Amino acid sequence: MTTGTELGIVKCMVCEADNRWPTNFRKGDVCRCYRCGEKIHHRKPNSLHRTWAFVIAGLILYLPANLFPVMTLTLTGDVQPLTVWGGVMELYDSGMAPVAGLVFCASIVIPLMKLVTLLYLLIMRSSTRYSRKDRAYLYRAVEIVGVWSMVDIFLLSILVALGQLGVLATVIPDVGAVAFASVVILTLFAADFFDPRLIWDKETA
Amino acid sequence: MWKPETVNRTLSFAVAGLCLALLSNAYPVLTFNFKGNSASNFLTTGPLQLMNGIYWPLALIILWTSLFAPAFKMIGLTYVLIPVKFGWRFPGVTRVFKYTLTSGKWCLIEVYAAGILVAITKLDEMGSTEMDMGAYILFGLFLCSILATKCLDREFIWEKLVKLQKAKP
Repeated sequence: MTTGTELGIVKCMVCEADNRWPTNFRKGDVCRCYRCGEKIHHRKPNSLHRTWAFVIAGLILYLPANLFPVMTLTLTGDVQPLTVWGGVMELYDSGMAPVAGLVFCASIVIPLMKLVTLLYLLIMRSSTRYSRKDRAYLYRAVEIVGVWSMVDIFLLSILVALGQLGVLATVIPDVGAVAFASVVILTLFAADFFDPRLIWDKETA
Repeated sequence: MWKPETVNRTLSFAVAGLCLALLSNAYPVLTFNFKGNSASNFLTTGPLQLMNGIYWPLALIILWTSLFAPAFKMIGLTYVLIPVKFGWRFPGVTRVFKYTLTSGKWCLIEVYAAGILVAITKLDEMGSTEMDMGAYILFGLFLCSILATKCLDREFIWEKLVKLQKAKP
């Protein structure tokens, strides 16, 4: 199989134009896409370092995001702190199994799957032990599905609004919400920093 | 080779989406009835409340992903596709298209729509919740957003933009 590197072609990561890589390229030179003018890199700079850092940070914050309450609901006197899991169980108990499933997938499964998948991609990197194509697909899937974790944050914003309007007692955001939002943002950036072209590089021993 | 009618279709969804995006905060999203009292919230009510406390970064994320990013996406697409359709030369079109594509992934209006549905089911046990005009506008915006993305042929537009740039007036 011929690779782009062998042909001296580098794809722009923004507009996907095929750029001819300058033969006299020296370290420190800046190469720009002929079509959109964005800087192009043979491989994203410090891709592995950045992705590792963001994935580790995400994994650390995943714990407080799930252990601490996301919001405190004060309904007719009694104060109930709600964790992400608590919110899922509450929906399930009120007979809303499909919606509970949606929130469970979006808030608990997807962030963890995303972090684990990125770890897997980082560790396997350019190995040929398993299909490289499958790993490229996996990366695309992780990129697309990751944003759905924001459901919980949007839900919080709607509940806070109704809470402040005086009808639904009060809804106050809690520490868990910040940790949770951080996990979502960190994983978005981690996936963005990872360079899928690394999957196709020659295996380094 | 190219997606069919990509300019016309994407432009129509972008213009429709732009109108909806401008209206998205003009109507309340949900109306909640609880023991005779009723209250409704706008798209920005929650984030503006969060703005006051220590959780303002959350408010910024919510405002950016549900209000500004969708609007920017629609404005950007309209600004790029009008000159492509009529063969005009607008300043900075390539740059606008670039930023539209890179900020487009922060447009999470479809996730917000799911958030509305979850909120309705969650609140339904405490009182009656009704979707208001704002919710329908958001669902419309969500449809326009995904259909515009679906119809947009990036490669075709980029090639057109390159040709427009080269053509001297």
